Amino acid sequence: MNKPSYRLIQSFLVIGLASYLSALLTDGSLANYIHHRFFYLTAIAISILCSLGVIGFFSTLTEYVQKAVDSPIKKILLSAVIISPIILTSSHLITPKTMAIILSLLCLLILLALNFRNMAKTLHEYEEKAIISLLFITFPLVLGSMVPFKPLSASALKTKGFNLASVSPASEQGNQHTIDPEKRNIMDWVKLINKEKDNPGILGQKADVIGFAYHDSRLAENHFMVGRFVITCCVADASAIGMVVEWTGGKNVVDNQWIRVKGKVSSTVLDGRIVPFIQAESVEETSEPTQPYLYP
Amino acid sequence: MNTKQNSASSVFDYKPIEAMALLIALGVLSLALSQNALTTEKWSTFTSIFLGIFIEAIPFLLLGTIASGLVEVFVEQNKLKAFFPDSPFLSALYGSLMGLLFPVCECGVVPLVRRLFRKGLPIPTGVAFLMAAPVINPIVILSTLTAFGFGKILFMRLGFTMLISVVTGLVFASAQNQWEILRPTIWIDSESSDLTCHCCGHAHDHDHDHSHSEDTHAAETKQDKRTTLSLTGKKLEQVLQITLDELFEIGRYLIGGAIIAAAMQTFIPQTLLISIGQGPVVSVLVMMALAVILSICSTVDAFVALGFTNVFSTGSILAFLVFGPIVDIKSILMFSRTFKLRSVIYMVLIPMLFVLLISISMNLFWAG
Repeated sequence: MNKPSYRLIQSFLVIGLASYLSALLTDGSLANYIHHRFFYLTAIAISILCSLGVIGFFSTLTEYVQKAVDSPIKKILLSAVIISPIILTSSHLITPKTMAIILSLLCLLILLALNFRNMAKTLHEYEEKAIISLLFITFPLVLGSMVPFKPLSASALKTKGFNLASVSPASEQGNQHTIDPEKRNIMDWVKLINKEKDNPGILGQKADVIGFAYHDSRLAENHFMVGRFVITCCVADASAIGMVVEWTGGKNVVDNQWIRVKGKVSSTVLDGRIVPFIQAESVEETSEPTQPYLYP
Repeated sequence: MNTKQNSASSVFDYKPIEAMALLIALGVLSLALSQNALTTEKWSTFTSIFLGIFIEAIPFLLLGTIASGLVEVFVEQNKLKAFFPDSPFLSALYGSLMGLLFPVCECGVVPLVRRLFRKGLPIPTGVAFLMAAPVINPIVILSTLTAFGFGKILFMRLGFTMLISVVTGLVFASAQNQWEILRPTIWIDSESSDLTCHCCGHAHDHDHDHSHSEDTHAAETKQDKRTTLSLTGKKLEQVLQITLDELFEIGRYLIGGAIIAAAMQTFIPQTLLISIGQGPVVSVLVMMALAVILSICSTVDAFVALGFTNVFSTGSILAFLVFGPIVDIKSILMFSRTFKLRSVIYMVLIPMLFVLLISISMNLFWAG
């Protein structure tokens, strides 16, 4: 592989990454991977990737067509063409998956056109190492655009486990008392019970929460957990929190099924830690919420 | 180019780690291909965690590589030495505080240090900077302050990180010259990047004519504003080209690290770690292992550590907060790109021993 074709692939990859990230950013599914407060960093990354892609294409082009980008108008027009994939995916006209396929086909075509005759000859010109690094950068792009997103679920619990310790005190500024009891989510309840376990005002309030079901081996037969994953920074630090549910049909609830639990709240002790407890009046299956994770 | 000789010398330097990352990637891929409900669940967990780490880290890596590109183009060769004192202790101390000026985290600091070494940064300064920058920087100080408040954890985190980084810097000060601790490739690479600059320079001769000599530079400043403007444009273009190359070079270590970390998180039960993690010694080891496995960016690890405050002692939390930023899977992989294997071992072992000593003695003698 020679220098210009290496540059070309680099630019395609960089533009591909930028369009994947911008698609995530614009439809909010970026929250499936990182906390909202880091979104601006991704926006910065996209703009840097954009300019890297433009520069990469410029230098490849000037290698083949000497006066390709010599006037400001040409530069602006070309830049617009180069960043068009990003605009297309971020406005959701094209999915990142389709875009990844189009970009790789285009890349292949251009490479063949440029190097068809001296491909074999120039292959050794560039270090093998450099080609490995191209493969590595392709990895997140392929994974991100090809593998459909599925939130962490009860199966991840087998390695991650329930975090029975309270959710970070740093987020204690929010006052869960001001939230209507039936609108509190699982995280609000966990915080509240940990903070004021003896407050009789809380015990007996009605809860209405959505989470996934999980049968913990430490629980009694008709008991199960209704849980959510909490993300402090990115999915890598996700930890599950949950409330113990008591329900007559508890045995028949399927692990990993999203459920809506309504009932009276009290507290219980599990492994020496205080955990909110719901005496369920109803447990019904529901669809996965648009925002599967909770964010403190 | 002496590619052959170069790759032969580096067989023992970094190939095993890289091969390991690839092997794990292949293993995970083949797991994914076996169409079994359990493995597809695991596969999506792996994908989520991997992308989480990658998306979180990529902006920081990009900022670091841009800083490195700026240093390459705008800082003159060997001019840096003049800014630092001759005393290894003082220069290491300066290095440990440099993060306050360059707020980069562990992903961004590696490319920057590499470039600074090339520009003549003293070894102790660079090593101390590399170790301390992920903690001694405004963003991380702020996030630790937010998480733990103005108190002993904040001060101990900063203090011990400075101590460890200065000591490590001093250990490296005994090196006679840079080649003793750095991988030779970084010099060859930078030569080759110059070379490639020339070879794309001949096709469009307006490019890269600035870096040749002081004379041409002086002559150019005399020219009218428009050329100065286009010269700055050319320089910025060069910065971006270097950034692009470095992104791919360092990026694969970040990705390799994220692959290993995500695989470990998917397949090694943390519940097991935490449940055995009691007792003054074991709890420190567990927190250090968690810091390495989780590979969370130092800018946010304080919030994650908070989640463990009820389970672990202050000493063990501190082990997580001090050790994690210096050593985790992705930083080890990125160190190995710049430093010789022996240096990398020192850079992992010295902090490890220090953190063990500090945290275990805290747990034993000062129940905080």
